[in-house]
Amino acid sequence: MRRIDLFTLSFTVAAALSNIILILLGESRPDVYVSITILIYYIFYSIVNPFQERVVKTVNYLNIILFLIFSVIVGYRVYEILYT
Amino acid sequence: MDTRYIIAGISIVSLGAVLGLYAYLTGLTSLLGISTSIILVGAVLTVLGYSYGEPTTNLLIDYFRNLSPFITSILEDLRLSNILPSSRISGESIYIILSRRNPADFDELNPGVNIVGGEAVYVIPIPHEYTVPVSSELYEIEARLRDTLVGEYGLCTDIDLNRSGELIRLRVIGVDRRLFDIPLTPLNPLDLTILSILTKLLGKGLYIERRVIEGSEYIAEFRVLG
Repeated sequence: MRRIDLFTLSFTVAAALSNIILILLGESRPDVYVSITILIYYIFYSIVNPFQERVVKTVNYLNIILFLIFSVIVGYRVYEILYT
Repeated sequence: MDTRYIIAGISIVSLGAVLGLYAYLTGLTSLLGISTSIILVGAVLTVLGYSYGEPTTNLLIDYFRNLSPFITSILEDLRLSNILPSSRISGESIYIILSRRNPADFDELNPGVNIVGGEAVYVIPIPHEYTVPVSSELYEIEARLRDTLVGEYGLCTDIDLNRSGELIRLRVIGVDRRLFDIPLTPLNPLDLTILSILTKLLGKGLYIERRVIEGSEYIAEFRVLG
């Protein structure tokens, strides 16, 4: 099996499972779903790197964008706890 | 590039977007979260598909890049470094020829360096299997060329082939950027691959009259040898 196939299979199955678990827990905040999916992406990207050691520009951009989205979500939640 | 991943990714993004719109209109926040998660998965698949390159392809690109200075120095010594390749069918074989003279002029072709009339002629034999019948219709040649260049090699996204008399004009659209990073020496993979496939499909020798790179397009004009 190619690394990209292994990564895709693991990532999609884990993302689907996490969504099912969040539904069963009655989670209604959309940002929780997004942040968990981003976390799963990073976990599987580090375990099964589909590009091995190669540096791929477009994937780097994707990683940066996902990290920014994740940071905004976490930052917003921290702000909410501290100032509201 | 892996087009299957791109198609799957775009489909998943579209599905997620529709689901997200429905969730937004009905006010189902948990469904909105799921749809955003689906869009994210689709976007990841699209980017992976777009960025993916077979490891062997990378090895071959590196191999050519390493070999290129050696080939270029030989061709410079033979005064053939500014020549575009041509092809010729002789008996059961296809030959790629680098020469200042018309390739139809030679009676005998031996692989390697030949000296004809004091001029160097570099001859490369190409394996030629007669499994595919020679095409006469332009649309058929174009379809077969597209199958090989887009479907089999993943070299580009599309092609456009026109013919007027003995002149064939080919536009190779959306060429893999990595192929433009390697030096376009006379024996570069783009010229050689396209020329040899087109020769096989036509069953006739060709020579490249003009070849230009415009953006991500490779445009070449071939003249059919009589």
